[in-house]
Amino acid sequence: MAYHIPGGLGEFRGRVAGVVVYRWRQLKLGRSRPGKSSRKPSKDQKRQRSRLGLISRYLSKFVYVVRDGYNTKRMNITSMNAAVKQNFHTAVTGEYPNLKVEDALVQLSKGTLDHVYRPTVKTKENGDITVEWINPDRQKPGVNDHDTVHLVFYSDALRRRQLFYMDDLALRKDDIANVPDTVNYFKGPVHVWMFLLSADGKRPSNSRYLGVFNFIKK
Amino acid sequence: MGKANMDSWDGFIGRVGNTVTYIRMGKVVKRTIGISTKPATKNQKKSRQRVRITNEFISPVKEFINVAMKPEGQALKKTPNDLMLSHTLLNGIKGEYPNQEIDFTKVQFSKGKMPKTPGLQVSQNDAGLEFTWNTELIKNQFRHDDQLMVLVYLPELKNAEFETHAIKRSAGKYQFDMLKEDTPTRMEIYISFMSTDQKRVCDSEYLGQLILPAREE
Repeated sequence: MAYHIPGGLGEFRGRVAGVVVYRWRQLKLGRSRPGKSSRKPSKDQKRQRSRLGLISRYLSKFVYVVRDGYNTKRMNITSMNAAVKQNFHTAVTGEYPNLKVEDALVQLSKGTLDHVYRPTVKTKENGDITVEWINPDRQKPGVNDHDTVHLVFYSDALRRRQLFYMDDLALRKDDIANVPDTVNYFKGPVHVWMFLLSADGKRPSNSRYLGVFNFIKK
Repeated sequence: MGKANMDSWDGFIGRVGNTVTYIRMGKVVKRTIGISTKPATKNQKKSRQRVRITNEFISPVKEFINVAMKPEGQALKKTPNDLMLSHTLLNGIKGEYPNQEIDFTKVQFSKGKMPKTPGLQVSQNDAGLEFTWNTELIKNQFRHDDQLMVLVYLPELKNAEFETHAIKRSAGKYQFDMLKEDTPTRMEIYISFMSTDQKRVCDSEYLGQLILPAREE
């Protein structure tokens, strides 16, 4: 059903016959009504749908990360769509039907901001976790000491997702981030990613996979 | 792509059919717009691959060329990216499609009318690279306060280390420290000079390829 929004110009939204009209950002869009095909999918279609479903489901857990990591304000695309587009060809490995997402290849942010040197996750004997990195003496133009460090801890050992996303733990200049104890209680191997974001939130760096770890419970 | 003189042009701006007209860098540009649904020919595929690898190559050095190509760009009414893309596409790619790749001996990261500095040399030490050059001045060409520009391209990491205002010409040598990676890294080394007012620059000089050793634990 389409309905009319009264106003200076007014507009229709909804379904009119076979067309669905809606508004997204500044665009007014119309598309044909979705429907099911009665034909059986070909092998290529199955492969394509399987890949798309797999990477979409995987990235849906990182929705808040992706919103920061993919700045698409100037593009007519959502952050999540940009992330799926980026990871569709690179992060899914194997041959259909044995496809899987390679955690180490997943890119949770994409941008031109310069990264830090040799970020590493360190665990102490008492279970404390830190992420340390090196800041070079030379800073490239556009790089700022106040760029925020974003850390993502994720484990898929349980059916319920275990994700910890921290965007205010440290700045680029700090050289170290102390991770809260929450991560110690994650079950199973924990994957860690890191990226930086400029202070205005507009320019991310490419995310870097820091490895998979089994943290000690405190 | 057509270009018109702004003084003599008084037409429309915007899209008409499959063409779009707009003003860029003080020039009116008219070009076709839209996505072609025809299958690409071999030459189109070749050209697209050249543009793709060139754009990937330029991406890590954008901040450097924004400084180094600026004077030439202002003179020619082009952006630094235009100049870099154009030069690399024409001269800096070797190999036949689909195995085209960047020819690091022929790319240029700065372009200008300042003459080349004699005696440019690079040597490797524990901390990184040491650059030396002849400090003799050429009247009306070189000044003692010209700035050294250094660029080290790391193709395997798809990254670059650079300094746009490293040291004055009168110093005669410069130590460029490099942080080592876990594995040996190939370095392509370039050097150039620019006047302090950033209006005159010389063509970048390729100083060869060196291997940065892996770090020791």
